[in-house]
Amino acid sequence: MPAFSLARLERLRVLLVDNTPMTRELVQGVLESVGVRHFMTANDGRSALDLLPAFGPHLAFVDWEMEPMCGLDFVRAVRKLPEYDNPFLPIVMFTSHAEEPWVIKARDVGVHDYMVKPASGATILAKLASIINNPRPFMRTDNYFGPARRIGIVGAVRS
Amino acid sequence: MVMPFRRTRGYIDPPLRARLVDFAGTAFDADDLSRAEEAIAKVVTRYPTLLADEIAKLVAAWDAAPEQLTSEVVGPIFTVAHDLAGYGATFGYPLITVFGRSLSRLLTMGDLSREQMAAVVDAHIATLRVIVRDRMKGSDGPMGLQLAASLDQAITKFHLAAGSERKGRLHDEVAALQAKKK
Repeated sequence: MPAFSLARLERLRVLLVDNTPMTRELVQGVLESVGVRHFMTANDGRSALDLLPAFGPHLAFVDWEMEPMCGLDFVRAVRKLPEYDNPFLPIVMFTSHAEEPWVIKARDVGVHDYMVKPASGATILAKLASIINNPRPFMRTDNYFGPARRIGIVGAVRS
Repeated sequence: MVMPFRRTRGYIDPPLRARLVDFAGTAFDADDLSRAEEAIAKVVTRYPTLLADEIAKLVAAWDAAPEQLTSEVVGPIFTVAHDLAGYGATFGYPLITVFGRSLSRLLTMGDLSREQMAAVVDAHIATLRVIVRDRMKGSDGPMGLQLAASLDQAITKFHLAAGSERKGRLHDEVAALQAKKK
């Protein structure tokens, strides 16, 4: 298998949702440094939802505390989208909430992964690689639709 | 027969696009990591200005708060404190993260009155202002510990007044931060 070329990441479309412009710039800067070129940014979940159909992101980094629509409600809304609008969108919750109950809450609405602020460049890249290289099956039950839940998401934050 | 998407129960294989198959095998080497850290360093240079603006926002939100602090009233103050906690350490100001997080925690303790919270919130704001004024980067040695200890007193007093024996633990948190740096 040929070695991975970062040039491939040029085609990756990333949605950054955070009410702090500097945090968006930070994540964008890190991803640009490895060749990602396509970004859309939003201040809150509501504006992000409006961007989804036209932009068609492959991946989203989403803050929790935002007004008027918080990150958790954004995830809920994405998971309710019709199939052609990609309810499977991989979402990384990127937040200052570091305590376990928050992580569990995020997992239970269907985030793929969880990253606690502050995060280094290495952490952001590790999350990106992990999301790309470990696609997860989805599951639907009577009260859940999202990536097949795993205990690991909680342990990863705890460590 | 293919089940309609909404009716399917159990495991579902996402379409190829959602599995990001086009990008499979993504890996980063040491050069990539150092470019990523350089990208962060570029954003960091603008942080002190943003920090001063954020603290001004915090003060304005707190000044505007009425006597009864419902969760709706506290929302904007919490958001600024939470944001400060979020990126302080990334931009080289871990004390902002520790003290911003402490303020966020206090603000989520339920509906309290402004009078009950005034001293402890004012103490946090004053401490954050000192960090900005003196550009206290890093966990900043004895001064960092002193600020944490003084906030601990305000936190302990606040808990006591609320009938709890909980104590401020910021001094321990900052000490642990400093020990980690050594």
